[in-house]
Amino acid sequence: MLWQNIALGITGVFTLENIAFMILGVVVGIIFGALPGFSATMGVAVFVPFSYVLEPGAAMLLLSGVYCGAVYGGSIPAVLIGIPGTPASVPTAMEGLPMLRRGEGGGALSLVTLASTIGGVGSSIALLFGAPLLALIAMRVGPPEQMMIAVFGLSVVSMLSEGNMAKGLFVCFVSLVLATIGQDPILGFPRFTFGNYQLSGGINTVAVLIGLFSLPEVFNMIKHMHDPKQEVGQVTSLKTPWNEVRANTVNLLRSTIIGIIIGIIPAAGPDIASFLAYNEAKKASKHPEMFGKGTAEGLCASESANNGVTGGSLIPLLTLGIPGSAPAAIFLGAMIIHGLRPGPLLFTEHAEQVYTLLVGFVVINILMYFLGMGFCKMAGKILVIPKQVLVTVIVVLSIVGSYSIQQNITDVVTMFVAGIIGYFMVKYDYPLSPVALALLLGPMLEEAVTLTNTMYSNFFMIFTRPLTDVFVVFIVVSLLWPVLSKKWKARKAST
Amino acid sequence: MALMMVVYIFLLGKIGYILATLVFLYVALWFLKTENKKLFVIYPIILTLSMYFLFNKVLSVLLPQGSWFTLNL
Repeated sequence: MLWQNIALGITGVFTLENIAFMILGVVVGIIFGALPGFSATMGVAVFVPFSYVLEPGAAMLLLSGVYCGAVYGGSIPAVLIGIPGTPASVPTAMEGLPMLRRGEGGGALSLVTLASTIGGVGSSIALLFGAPLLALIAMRVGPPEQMMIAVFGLSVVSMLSEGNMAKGLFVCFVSLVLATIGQDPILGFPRFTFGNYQLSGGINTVAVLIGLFSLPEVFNMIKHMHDPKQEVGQVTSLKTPWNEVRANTVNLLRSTIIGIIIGIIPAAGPDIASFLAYNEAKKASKHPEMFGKGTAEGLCASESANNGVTGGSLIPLLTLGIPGSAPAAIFLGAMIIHGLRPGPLLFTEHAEQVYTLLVGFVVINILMYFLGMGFCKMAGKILVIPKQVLVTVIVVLSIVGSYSIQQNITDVVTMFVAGIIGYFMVKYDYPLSPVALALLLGPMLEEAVTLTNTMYSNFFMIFTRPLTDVFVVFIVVSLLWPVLSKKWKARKAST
Repeated sequence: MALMMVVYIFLLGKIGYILATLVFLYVALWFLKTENKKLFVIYPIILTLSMYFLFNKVLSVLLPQGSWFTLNL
């Protein structure tokens, strides 16, 4: 059955149109990732509206291309200027810049490209085989479990905003309230619309996400508009140092696996994975003192891990409807618009589109290697695009994009307001990703709670379902995690 | 910048996408002190028109029409 579906996916991927969209997605993604200040999340958010008119399969491939390309692209300026294009490439910058100064910039770039590809391909294979497997387990998921899964997804947010868990939870609750604006999903009764008919459809989630993840960056770029320009490093040849690759086989594999696992954990994104893999590589290395002075080991670890996240983060997304990272959250929004409701049923009802996506993910990561190598050669030209152009392009893209969701000015206003709020949230150190998660999981949570209530007359009966209990344990652990880890650290320090 | 965006969004519904975007881009580039003269003149026209054709013709998503008047190509 699995092989049959994979064959179906292969026929779906290899059409001229789909290949073109994949290449387009990867190129756009690499450029977005490479421009400092532009994140993978922003790239996917801005491109969601472009995918509306495409068929679901092609749209998903385009967005996955942007996603994978952007995560990789962040490493190019990390090596060339020492400024990571995305937060996930911070460790890359620590190793890449010293290598560039030693004149090994070309080698570093090709190593980074290879490591990203290995991470990406590894994670897409995990996605191809892991997702259908998890879908089988997910078949046993009923409304009570769904309710718990949604709560779990939200509780992980608190684990991530360690140190400011209160802020994370606060943002989470406010966003959940915002998600209830509009019609009741079961009864159809309008709530919190204040008699305003424009609110009766609810707040448009995609518009909010576009504003939230693109405008704060724009305002920040304007603030730093006239900072002195960074020198872009020159690269002569892109020869891959194969001896380094051979020496790092174990490292690459380990980092890819770390990436995949971090990807699967809800809301833990590429940035966490690359730091974790970097630290692990440092611990395992024979020359830990070389880290930070330009080692190939650090580069390989960080890049294969952050690309390992891409496929991993789609596993819980496709099977359970929980995004494994912030860009995946926007991916979820796009899927719902295309009528692909994530969950176990997706794999039987929309097998063709899903397997096209799964197989396409592998192809995208392979394409990324060749497109990436080509891009590295001309990266020097693209990195000097004036900021005035970047800022205005993003403003126009996000306005036109949010308008085209429903051809409606209200969504543009929503996008703008979300952007302003987002700017202040970033300024005062409130996390943005809980908003995405809560707005997307809110309706799912609400529906599940209502259905659970009709299933059981006594609410506590849900604990007779084993899977529900498992998720309850997960939730408790993730909520207590920050407190417990602090205690452990304190105890370790005292002994 | 935020103020310019408010005006831009307001104008979208009044004078349509093409004119509103051109006005916004020129004002924004002036505000951001663009030094390159060629870029200043050509870039807004290219961006506006390419987005217009991409959405209206290729993706068949109609961009905002103005209620006062609209420039249609």
